[in-house]
Amino acid sequence: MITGPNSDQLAGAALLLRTALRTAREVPPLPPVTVHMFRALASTLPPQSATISRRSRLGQWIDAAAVLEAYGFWDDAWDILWALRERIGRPTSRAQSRWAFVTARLGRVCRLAGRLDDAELFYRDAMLECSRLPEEQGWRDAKPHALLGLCILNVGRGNYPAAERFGKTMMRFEKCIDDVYRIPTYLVLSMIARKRGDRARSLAFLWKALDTLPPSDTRRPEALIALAEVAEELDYKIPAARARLAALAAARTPRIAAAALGGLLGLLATLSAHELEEFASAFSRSAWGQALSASADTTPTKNLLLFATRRWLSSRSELGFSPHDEIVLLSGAVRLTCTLGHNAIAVDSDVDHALARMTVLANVHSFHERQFEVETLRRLVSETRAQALHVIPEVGDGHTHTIVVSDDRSSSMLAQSRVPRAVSRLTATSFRERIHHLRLLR
Amino acid sequence: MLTTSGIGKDSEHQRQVHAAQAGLSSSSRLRAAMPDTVIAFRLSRSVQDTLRESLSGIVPVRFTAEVEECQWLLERHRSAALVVEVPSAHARNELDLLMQLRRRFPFASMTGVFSECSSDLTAVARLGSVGLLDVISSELTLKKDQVRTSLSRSHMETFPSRIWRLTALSISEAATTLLRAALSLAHHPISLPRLSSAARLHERTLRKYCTTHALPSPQWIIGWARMLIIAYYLEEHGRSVQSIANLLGFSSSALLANHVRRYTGQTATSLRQRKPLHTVARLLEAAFISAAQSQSAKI
Repeated sequence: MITGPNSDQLAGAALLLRTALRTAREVPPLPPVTVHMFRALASTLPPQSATISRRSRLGQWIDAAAVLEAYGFWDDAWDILWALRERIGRPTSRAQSRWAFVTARLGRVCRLAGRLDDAELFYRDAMLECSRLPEEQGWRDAKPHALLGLCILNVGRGNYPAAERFGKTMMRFEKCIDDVYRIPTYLVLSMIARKRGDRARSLAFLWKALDTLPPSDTRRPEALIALAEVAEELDYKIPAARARLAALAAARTPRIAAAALGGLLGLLATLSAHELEEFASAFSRSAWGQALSASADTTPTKNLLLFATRRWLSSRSELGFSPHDEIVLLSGAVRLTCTLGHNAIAVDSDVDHALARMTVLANVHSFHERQFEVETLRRLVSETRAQALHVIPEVGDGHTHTIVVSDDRSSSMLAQSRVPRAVSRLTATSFRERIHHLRLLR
Repeated sequence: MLTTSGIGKDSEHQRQVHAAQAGLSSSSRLRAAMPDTVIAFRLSRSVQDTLRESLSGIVPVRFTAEVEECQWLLERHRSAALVVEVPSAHARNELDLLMQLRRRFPFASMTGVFSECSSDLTAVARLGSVGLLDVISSELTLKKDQVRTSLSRSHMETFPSRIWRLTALSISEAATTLLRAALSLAHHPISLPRLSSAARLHERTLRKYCTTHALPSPQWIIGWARMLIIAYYLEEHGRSVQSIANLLGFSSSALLANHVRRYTGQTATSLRQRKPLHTVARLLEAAFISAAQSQSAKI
């Protein structure tokens, strides 16, 4: 579950931070009232730098900016990073290296905020600065940060060849770069391989990431989500659903929660009735499932769908979703809504809004893949509305939203089952063994 | 001696004004734009002392705990700054009162003093939503230059809204975005990186933004922003061209005069006689239209 400060506390802290930087000539200490809060929140994020200690003054500021990014305060994160960069300057090569690193961070903020053109410019500025440094110094922090950013940015644009080029450059220096950058590189290369249909390679990178990650690492949910995506493509839907649920439970930032939940909603939409029951039984043993069972006289399947839809409705007010996160979440929610084949008023009236919002986000930020997806979803929604609906008693829980579930789902609403491709090096057995090892199957 | 008082102690304030006008030249020499009066509302004793010490001889300060007096002072002073202690979010009445004051007097800059014992971050955010621009921490043993810098910055950031209200500028949305960003910085010479940071854009994106929206170059927009600020100060009674040049970072009054001539075709003296702010605003509107037309013609 995501816990943390409310948005007012973060907004207030951001204002204090901006003032502290504006009135200082060098990097000042964090305002005392904000130290504890940012330290606690930063501990839910992975390390942000390979060379700057989190305990150092600059490290604390970098962490504070990262926390603000994670909760969607892009403008505040920008202002802080820009001011930090001005105060670092470039009088020595060490300062140059840090200047380049903070420039790459500016690129990251732009990327998360959906300003991809600006992101690319800042990443390239960072690379240019690194070219003026001794090679070894550049590779410690700024260069891998910028390269990784360019790789992910191109994935967002759908330009997989370019993304792969940046990823391969990183892999040439695999042994030199820190885990801070190596693990995300494995994850993004896994994603690229998967998008290009090379599942064996995708899984190979994923295992590398999971093998490198310590058990309690904050990046584990991200790796679980990647695993779920591959599992889905191999038609291992129940392990995929469990992986997403595990990622949702372990997610400590809104961004990861969005990815986990959005994917889970979309996946639930593709399950057959039997698969849904099987997963629902597993879900009912979880803490969430038990809480729902205690409060309403209902079935495991209805509990699961109630949970999923309720999370979707409440997550819209959570902080920190980047434009891409938001699209992922909306996409999953729309798919699930279509599968329910409903006339659930509270949810249905949001579908058109969700599609409109997805259209705007995809167009404004040039998410080309998602533009096609929106068209597919529009057709799906039209088909759903054309179907006859059955109504069963409401699953009411005292909240304003109500879910009405049809048990009689037309087969045209179900996604086509994917025929798993042969994976030459990885058999179904060895895959299940790895999943078991990860404690996803009980 | 500065005292907290009711409305009747105006003569005391006059004495401070005279003392501060002698000090205005010192603030000019410091090249820091400052409000004409600081109104310290319900500050604790220790903060009052620091404020008094920081601003002595530079800006007159009025201490008050009365809402009516505070409102009266804000109505009277065109360029006042309000300094308040940030309350706790639980002190709803106090917080609501401060928010109402800010809404009613949007051109008075507001600076907050944060105390770890009695303030909280939620209250900072609520005040931030109505325009609280700077928050300084009382626990850091308020330094004089911090206080002055904070007041000066807050004051400068009110200029975009102030100028818009006074001139009713009518330009495109894209132009407004950039011009407002430039106005908040225009008390000092502005570099392109500085403007791009205020607009939260990369430098190259800023140039592209201007091209895409048929705007003149960023340097041109910076020049007009500075011209508007010059015009604002030309309207101040008793403010010399030299003092304006000092305040805005021109190395001489001749350079300021050149700037005025370049953008308006007039001298500073003749501009001063013809409602300078209104005149410059109309010239700016015409110049933007002309620039947009010539950009379209090139295409």
